[in-house]
Amino acid sequence: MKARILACSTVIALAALTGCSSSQSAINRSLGQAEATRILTTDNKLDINIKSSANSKLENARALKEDGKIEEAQALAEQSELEMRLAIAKSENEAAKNDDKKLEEALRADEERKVLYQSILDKEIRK
Amino acid sequence: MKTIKILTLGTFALATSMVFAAENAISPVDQCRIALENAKSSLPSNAFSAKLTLAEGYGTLTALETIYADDDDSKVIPTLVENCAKYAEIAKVQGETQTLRNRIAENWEKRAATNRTIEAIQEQIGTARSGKVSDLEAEKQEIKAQKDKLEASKQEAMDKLNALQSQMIQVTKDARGIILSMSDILFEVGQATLKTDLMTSLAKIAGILSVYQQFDVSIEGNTDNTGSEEFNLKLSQQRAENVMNFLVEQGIAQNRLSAKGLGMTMPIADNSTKEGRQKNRRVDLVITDRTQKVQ
Repeated sequence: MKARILACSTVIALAALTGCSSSQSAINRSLGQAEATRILTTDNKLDINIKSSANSKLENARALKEDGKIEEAQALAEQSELEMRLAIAKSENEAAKNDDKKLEEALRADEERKVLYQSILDKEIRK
Repeated sequence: MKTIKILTLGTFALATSMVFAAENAISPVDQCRIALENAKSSLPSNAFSAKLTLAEGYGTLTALETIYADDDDSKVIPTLVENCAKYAEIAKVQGETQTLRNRIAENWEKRAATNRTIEAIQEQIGTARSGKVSDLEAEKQEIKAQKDKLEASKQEAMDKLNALQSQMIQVTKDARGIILSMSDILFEVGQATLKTDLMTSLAKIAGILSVYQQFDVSIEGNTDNTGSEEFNLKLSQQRAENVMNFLVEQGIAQNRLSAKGLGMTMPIADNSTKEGRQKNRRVDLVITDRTQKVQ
């Protein structure tokens, strides 16, 4: 019986340790990813408010980790990263809007040129 | 008693409304799922980044479901719901960006097609213009060739008429054309009758005129200021007409000829001297080029 209890206790302890180790790994991964995204976004002209909020959330996530609140820390680290990704997505969207606008104008100018040349051709043919 | 009733009814109503509110409240899991589904519905088929983002969002949804099932009061739930909403928002923005990029690609194709059309039109304009240019060039060359031919013909005639130059026939050229001035020595004195020498010269002129059909001849009789004006006018007219008739006899079409007597009205020299009067007594054959009049 003692042997059984010992065996069970060992299994439970190992499971707890493994679980703890896997949580640590996950939070470290999330914090690392959020930090890497933060570094990536420093070069870009992104929304300063979003960046500031994301940085503060990353710091809070680190603090939560220190307090042993791993799940909360991980969720907050993920949120920090997501805010920066959102800022990047919005920035790309703005760039695409500008490209689209410029191209629309160029296309309109081309269409006008086409009409002009067509009218020249019509005149030449009528002469 | 009344107060107790009111309180009882109020408590019942509050409890009922709380029950209904709890039943109608959307669970965090559903909030997350709805946000992701909404974002998914607006994505273009080639929005792969957005789809990957959504896949991560669905991962969060799974985590949320597990945590919510274990403990629906977990502190991490609100953050996970927010994260879920962020995934949905990012996916939506990425989807919009892809839609814009798709339109940009379409517009580049449209531009390329429009520019190809413009090039084709420009080529057609070039062809239309070069065709006209070559037509015009050919026309110009033809005109020039005709002009050169006429000029050569005129020069040839001029050379032949110049050969008639003698003491009695002066050949000159002015704006009207070639002028052959025949001295009155070639006429009988005071008469309009042609002398043999004049007839010989006129026959040669008729020969030239028959070859160079572009020439018309205006025959102008002139006198000096001696004698009456009426006599001089009549004499000059008669002499001009006699010259014209002779040319007609030589086969020159009458419609190429005209004759008029100018009397003493058109002197070319001083009538006060013998030499001047001599010069003024003359018949001028003004030979004009009909083709030049047309041009």
